[in-house]
Amino acid sequence: MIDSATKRYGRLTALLDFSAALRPGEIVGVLGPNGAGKSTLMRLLCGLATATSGRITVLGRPMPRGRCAVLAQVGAMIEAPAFYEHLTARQNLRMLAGYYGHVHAERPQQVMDLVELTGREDDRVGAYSVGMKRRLGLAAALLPSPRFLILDEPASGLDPEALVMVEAILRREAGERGVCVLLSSHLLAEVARICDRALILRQGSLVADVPVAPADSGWVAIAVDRPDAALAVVRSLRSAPEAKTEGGLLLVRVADTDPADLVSALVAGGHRVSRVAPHAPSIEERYFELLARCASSGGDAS
Amino acid sequence: MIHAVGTELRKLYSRWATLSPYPLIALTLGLVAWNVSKLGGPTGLAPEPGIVTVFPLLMWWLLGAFAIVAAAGSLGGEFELGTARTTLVTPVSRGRFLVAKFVACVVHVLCLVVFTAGLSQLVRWALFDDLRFGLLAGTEGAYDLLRPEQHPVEVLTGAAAWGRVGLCYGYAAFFLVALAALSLLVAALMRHTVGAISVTAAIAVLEWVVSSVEPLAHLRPFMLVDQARGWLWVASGIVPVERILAGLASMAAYAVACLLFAWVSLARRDVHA
Repeated sequence: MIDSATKRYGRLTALLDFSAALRPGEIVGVLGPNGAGKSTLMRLLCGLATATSGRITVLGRPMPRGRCAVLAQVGAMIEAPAFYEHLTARQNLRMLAGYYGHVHAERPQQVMDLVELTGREDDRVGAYSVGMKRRLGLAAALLPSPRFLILDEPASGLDPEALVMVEAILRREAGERGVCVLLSSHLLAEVARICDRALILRQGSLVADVPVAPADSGWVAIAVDRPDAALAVVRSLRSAPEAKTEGGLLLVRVADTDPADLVSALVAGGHRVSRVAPHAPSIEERYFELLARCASSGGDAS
Repeated sequence: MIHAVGTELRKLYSRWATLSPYPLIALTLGLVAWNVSKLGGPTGLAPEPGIVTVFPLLMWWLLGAFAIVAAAGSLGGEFELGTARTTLVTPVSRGRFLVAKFVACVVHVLCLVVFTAGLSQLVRWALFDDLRFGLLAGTEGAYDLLRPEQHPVEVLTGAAAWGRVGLCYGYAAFFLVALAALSLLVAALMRHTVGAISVTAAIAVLEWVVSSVEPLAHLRPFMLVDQARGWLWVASGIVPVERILAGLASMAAYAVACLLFAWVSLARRDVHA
């Protein structure tokens, strides 16, 4: 639970009046361009930074005051995972495991198996590739069997197989154990695949808190021959619905118009309609649309 | 806390910078021994200038430098490499994190002192076939060699003499621990190893200069580096107890104050990338 959190670094506002609530078992993606405040938000949530104003409560305890109790149940990977490069992956995880107290001796091996580092546990981390270090970072985050996972760019540098593996782990953690997962990503397709909800940030402000699943947008996509001519037909209707062409389709907002009337008008105008379907913009489309709208309105989130 | 200290010791002793003092100390003592052996024993040395007088003097600063490097690297390195971020998202408190590092540095300093003491006594024994108080390991060694008429070499015969050796090294260890605490404070503020080493060394040199200026003599009790003189008193047999106790109290106050400020810095400041 984040209530009106603001974080300033001198004159720079990294996060402005940010509020959001996260629920157990949901996977929430944090999206935004570079410098939008994604990493700042994650640092605030795991107590690496203190909010300039506002209130942050994690697992029922205030942050950063309840840091130690909270972090016993939180797994976090903030920015590029950093380990002691001259030590092995196993040694690194054992060191971290010791800080939790409740982590079983076999847990480091379990999490390394989970992220498919089996066979490389006793290699020095310095010899690891970027992707392997990411996987080790994820293993470290999973070490305490967390109730809340905070992952900053978990997919960055991963090969497609590892990406699938990470997505499966996150789905399983959220679905079977009810873990709340907050992840930031620049990969919109990844967010679309695994997240339930997306928080879109721009210049430190939350511009949207939207479900990732395609929602009823009130638009229909009509596959029609000569879409530009069909657009003129739709605009000449008495109800004059909002319409545009996009990707060879005719898109019409059907708030006050019956789709059946639209089809009749188009057929009467000599067009051949091959398909009519609800038009649900993807998270990618909504993301760019929101950012474009913000940019044109001078950064006004709403 | 035991795990945290063990982890810090493991981290400390997995770095070459922590292990390198041992061969360097051995090399230094070896060079001293070689020179003493070549020139024919302690009585024939004084007041010969040269490597024999220089190296024991360096030894004192060498141990101080090792303490500074170890402490600065143990905290500053964590921030430089980003491992502080990895550790501080576990339930370890900033205070425990700092105290574990300090205790690991104390253990390291004690190991260095014990190693130096043991090796210097061995060298002494090998060269002169008896255990004398000169130690060949610190400033007082240089004084012995330079002015034996003022600081006569003693043969360790009684418990009191051995006790003085213990006090001498204990005092040195106290000084080095306070220096390590100062280095930890600077590293907590700067979050950079080389910067922390440079600034701590600069503070030490500045203190040494200030404490050498006679009109500023009233500041000496507040100068950490000046407390090193207590070692000379112990070694030279004068043993002004009240001065030694004041020195120990000053060094303890330094260590506590430095740790307190380092903790405030760690607790209040954000951990960045």
